[in-house]
Amino acid sequence: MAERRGAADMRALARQLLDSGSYGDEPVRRSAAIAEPLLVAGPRREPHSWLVGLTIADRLAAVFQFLLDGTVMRYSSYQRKAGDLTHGPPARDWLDADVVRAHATANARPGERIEDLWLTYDRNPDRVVWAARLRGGASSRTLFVAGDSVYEPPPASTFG
Amino acid sequence: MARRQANTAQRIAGLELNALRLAGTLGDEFERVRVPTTGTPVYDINGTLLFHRLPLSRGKTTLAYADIAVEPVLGEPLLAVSSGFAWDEKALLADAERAARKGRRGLTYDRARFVAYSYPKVGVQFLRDEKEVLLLELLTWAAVPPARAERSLPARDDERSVGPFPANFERWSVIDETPEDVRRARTRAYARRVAAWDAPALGRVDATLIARDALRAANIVLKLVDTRELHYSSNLADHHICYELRGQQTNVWCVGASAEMLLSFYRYHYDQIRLAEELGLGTLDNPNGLPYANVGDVVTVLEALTSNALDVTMHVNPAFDIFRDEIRANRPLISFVPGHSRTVAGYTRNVLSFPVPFRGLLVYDPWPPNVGVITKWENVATQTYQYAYSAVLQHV
Repeated sequence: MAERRGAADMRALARQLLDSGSYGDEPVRRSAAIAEPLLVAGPRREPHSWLVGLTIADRLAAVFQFLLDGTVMRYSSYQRKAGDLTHGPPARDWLDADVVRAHATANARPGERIEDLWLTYDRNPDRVVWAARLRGGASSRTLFVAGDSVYEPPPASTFG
Repeated sequence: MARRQANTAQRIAGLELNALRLAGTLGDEFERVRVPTTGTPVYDINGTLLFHRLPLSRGKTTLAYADIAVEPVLGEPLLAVSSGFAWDEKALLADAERAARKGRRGLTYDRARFVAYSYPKVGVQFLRDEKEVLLLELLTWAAVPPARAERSLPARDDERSVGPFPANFERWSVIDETPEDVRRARTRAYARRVAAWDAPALGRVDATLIARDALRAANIVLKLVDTRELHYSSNLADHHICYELRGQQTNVWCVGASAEMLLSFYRYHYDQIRLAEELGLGTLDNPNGLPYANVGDVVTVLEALTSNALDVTMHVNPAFDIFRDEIRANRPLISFVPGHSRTVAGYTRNVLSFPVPFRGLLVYDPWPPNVGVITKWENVATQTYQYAYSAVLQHV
């Protein structure tokens, strides 16, 4: 219940910041729909931040990331130029857990099944990814899904 | 002297508050609110005048009060705007006197004054022959204990430590106990701010009243935000933004993509496959990240690939000023945060640091793979900056 209330607050905050003119360009402010905020978990699955997608048609135009108290972490745009959605990934690749699950499944080994799926980040909070826990027999492993890119978590002591 | 200081306080308060009103920091409730000629002088525990507390009123209703520094060691003229408590100097002194007589029958004193006994905590000090006979905390009217013989101040080996940290309910002097280096920096900052308000054009502004259009009416254009992005040259008026985003081609090639972006700015075109080879990041089919131990390789590779035309410097734990200064010089930077690398192509910051300062970076981030994002802005307060790489073009 508390989480749902938090999500509504984040959505309202995103709208307020767009309306203020401080973030986003005119096409986004005018046309973007604000998607349901998603909770980003930290490495121990603790709530870390909120990811709020801004979509235009079926594309992800930009995202807000807020700390749990509403502090703006970042506003990141996929547009190279105002109104240009060429580089915007399909919104469902990032915002729809079923589509993310399908990406992970496509990269599963024979006999592996997805046990768990959650939004988290790869080493740094600005590298938001979906984490899929796969189990195959007695072994399990994690895959990160970032849009259409699927990979195993890299070593922690690297930049990449 | 006191009169002149008070009038100066009113003028500075009026200009500071009108700037906040123009910025929207002060809401509609402050529209047409009066800034008084005089306020309550508040002294340091050592007897020096620290600031004036000016009640802000509309008609007979006091809405808030503003603290305006007289003492430069406080760093800026406007210390605070507080609402929710109607400051009434006479009534507070009367309450303090009642509390003093109740606690100490036979107390004799010549006068009472307001003292920031543990700044910003304020109390009422009773003096006889200019010596304190009693100090009561404001509103609780509890007696503030005498100063301890020895105060335990923190060691200054922690760079974040900018001043003394007294115990709860302990009196201390903000003037005497501010370290010398901090005192100098704050005094300079104070002088700069006061000098800015002394500009001749501001003489037309009615500083006795807060109004959204007070500064505009005097044709004052106030720069509230300091922001800059990379351009083709340093002439911002003539040219467009000059920087391009590159997505990282594998999930671990953020360093390669960052190097590509920085080099592209200087018209060196190396693709990520070549840069990965130089940086030891493997191949497209078998990529790897840059090990933490190899952060120095970025300097070596960028200099080698430009035949030393770029002089590259690695900054450890870079502060915001590093980014700001490089962008002002029209130079991009590579920024390493834990596990990730991006480039920085702009910055923004509030010129008014009150009430909530904001400093942001324009980040060209190669993540997610093959896409990348332009982050405008990244809140500097929420990120950990491990390394930055600046590159200066060497002229022949």
